[in-house]
Amino acid sequence: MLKIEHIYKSFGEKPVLNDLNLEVKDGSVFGLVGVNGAGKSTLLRTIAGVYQADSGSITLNDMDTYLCPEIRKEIAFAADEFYYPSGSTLQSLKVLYETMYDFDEKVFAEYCDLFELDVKATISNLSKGMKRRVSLVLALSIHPKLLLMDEAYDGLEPLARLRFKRLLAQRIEEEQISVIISSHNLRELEDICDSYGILEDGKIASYGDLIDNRGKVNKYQLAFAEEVDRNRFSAFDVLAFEQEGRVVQMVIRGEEEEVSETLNELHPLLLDVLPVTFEELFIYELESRGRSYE
Amino acid sequence: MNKNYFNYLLKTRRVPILFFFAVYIGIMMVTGLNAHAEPDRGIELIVAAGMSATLTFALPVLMFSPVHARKSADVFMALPISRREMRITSLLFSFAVSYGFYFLGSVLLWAISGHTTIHIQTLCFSLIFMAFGLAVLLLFNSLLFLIANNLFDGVVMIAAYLCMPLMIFLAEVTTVGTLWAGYTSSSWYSGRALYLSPVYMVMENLVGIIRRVQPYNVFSWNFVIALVIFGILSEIGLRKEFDERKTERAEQLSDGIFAYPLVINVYALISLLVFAVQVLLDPREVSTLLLYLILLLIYVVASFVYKRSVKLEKKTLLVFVGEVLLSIAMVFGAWNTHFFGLADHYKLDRGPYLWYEYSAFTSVDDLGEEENPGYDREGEVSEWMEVDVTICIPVDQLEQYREVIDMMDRVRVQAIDDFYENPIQMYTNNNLRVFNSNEVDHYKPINYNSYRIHELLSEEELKVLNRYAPVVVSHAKGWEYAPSMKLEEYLETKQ
Repeated sequence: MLKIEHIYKSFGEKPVLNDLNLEVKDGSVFGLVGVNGAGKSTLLRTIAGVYQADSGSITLNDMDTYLCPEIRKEIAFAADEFYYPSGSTLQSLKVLYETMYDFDEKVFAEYCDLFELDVKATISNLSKGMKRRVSLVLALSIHPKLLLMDEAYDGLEPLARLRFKRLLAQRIEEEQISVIISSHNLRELEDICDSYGILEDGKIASYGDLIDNRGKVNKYQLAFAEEVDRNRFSAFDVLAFEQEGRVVQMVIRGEEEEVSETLNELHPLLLDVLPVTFEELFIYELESRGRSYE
Repeated sequence: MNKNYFNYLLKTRRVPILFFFAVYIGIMMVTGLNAHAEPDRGIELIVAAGMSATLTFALPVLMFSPVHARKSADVFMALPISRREMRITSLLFSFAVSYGFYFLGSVLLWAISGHTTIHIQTLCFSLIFMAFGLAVLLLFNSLLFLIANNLFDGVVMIAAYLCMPLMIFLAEVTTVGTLWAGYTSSSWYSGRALYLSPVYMVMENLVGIIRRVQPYNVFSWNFVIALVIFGILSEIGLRKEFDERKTERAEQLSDGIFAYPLVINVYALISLLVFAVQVLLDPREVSTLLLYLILLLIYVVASFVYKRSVKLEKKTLLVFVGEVLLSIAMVFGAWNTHFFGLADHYKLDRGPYLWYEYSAFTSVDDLGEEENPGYDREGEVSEWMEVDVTICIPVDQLEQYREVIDMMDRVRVQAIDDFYENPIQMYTNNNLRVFNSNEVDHYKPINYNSYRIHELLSEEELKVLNRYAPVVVSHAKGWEYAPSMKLEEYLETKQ
């Protein structure tokens, strides 16, 4: 299990991670979202041991990821920008992973086939999507217990994404690996993550099970016989509110049954309940705290 | 050391290393096999050392460049290896390459041709010393590369610190020589800036081991001590700059105190001191102002390289103006205080022997009257006498020579007063040189001071001096010297 406790990280005077706490269970795919500059990449780099936190601790299976280098054998970090020395091929790149990690040659060959990668091709000649594939193949070939993907999932075309999702599901089932994915494309995250965390002001502002939370936040459309005042809904945890004459549309946090029951007590002429997408959930969460999604 | 990382370095760096090895051996063979003459003794070992020393500048760039780029830092800093292990492994790998080349190359060439001119003990000693020297150079150059925050700046730092001691030395020769009466490039304080250059000290000592030509090629234990200090300080610095490095520094401006802020200002101050001396010598010279403007431009360009911004900041300008004022204050302060009192102070016993060398061009009629060789008013070549005397005094017998010392000191003090009375010195060939030596045949002068003198020793004083050492007098006319004679002979001829 990955455990992050009271992490602080600043760049000069600017605090980026501020008393951040998080737990990611084994076999979980965690979606890390946040506005630009929220600190998603910083958090992933700090987990990977690239950055040293100013204070606090990050442990994977009770071993500090910065202080205990041996635990980093269990961590694969696919950064947002893929590094390769000029002129390198996949064949030459894997030397680093072969010598430094428990590299599985068989898995590597298998994944190269799956993602249609030529090991002798010069990396610099590959497209952005193909480079992403290279990055993921190398990361998965070391059998990580924790896979960190900093927007590394973005840019994969649908077929590759599907293959990767299946592969990930298989690895989670077989090896109980944990995955943290940060992405701007929330629609892509929605169909792969089982839990999520919204990073805001250096903290995880909202955190939980994606399916549960999405069930707890719903969009309600109501029509009344006459125009109603917003104050009538003050008893609800309203994340978003829109009104056009007698028609009201709201996003309310709370169990759907309870909220619908209470709303029915206001005698609407019509009450419709619509599910929210992960993207909407993210936007409403931010807007409810006075932020806007970039 | 981490074996896996060492293997990785070996696998990924073998092509450039093998290429360099081929070049290395090629150059050594060409130089070594063609150098049998005595003056070239050990040239193959010196060339090999030079190339290995060059490698110590290149290898840190090859080893530590991943920390200077964000993308590569994401990979290398996340490796399952501690920073300390990574640093030590990289340094050991670099050492194995640079020293391995030296060892293989020098032993090979010695076996082929060098054993006829170089003793095996010399070879062994050079191998031991180079192991130490290359280790220090690798530590120091790695530190220089790592005080920067990006690849380009890292290379700039290595080059800037490599040239800095030389620049300080040249500035010392040009400025101190003008400000310090008696200063010569062989004064005891001269050339201390070269102690800031580990590569100079390593190469000097290696040549000292191989050639042992007194007084020029001498192995210096002072250099060894200085190199040990460099090694220790570099190791401490590397712990801070690598083991405890904040990875987020990658691709940032190199604004650490030992990076651009120090380098730019040291270079600026060195140049400004040289300019300030020009101001002292001739305050009305317009070209000096132009030099200041050019230097300001260079300063702005350097600030641009540092901050990647063409904007001339008020702070930059203020610092520059501050340095201009500081340099002028330092130069004028040095001038008005006889180089902070140091010019007046002369210690007689910096070596077991004290030497006075007096050399003067005098009129034919009076050996105490100055007469510079040249042309007279009619365009005829003038006629003059040359007076030379050299006295060596054992410093444990100074009292027995008190008369001489007082006489020479009077000349020395007068020369110092003359020096500071007029910034633009009157030309003269008359000299008083004062120095110490470790040996009676003064191979290597210590504490060497040379004074231009206008007020010469009188004939009476020369007679006194003649009691301690022979005063030699030569008559010259039309650039032709008659055979030299003793003072007594001159005085008899005169009568």
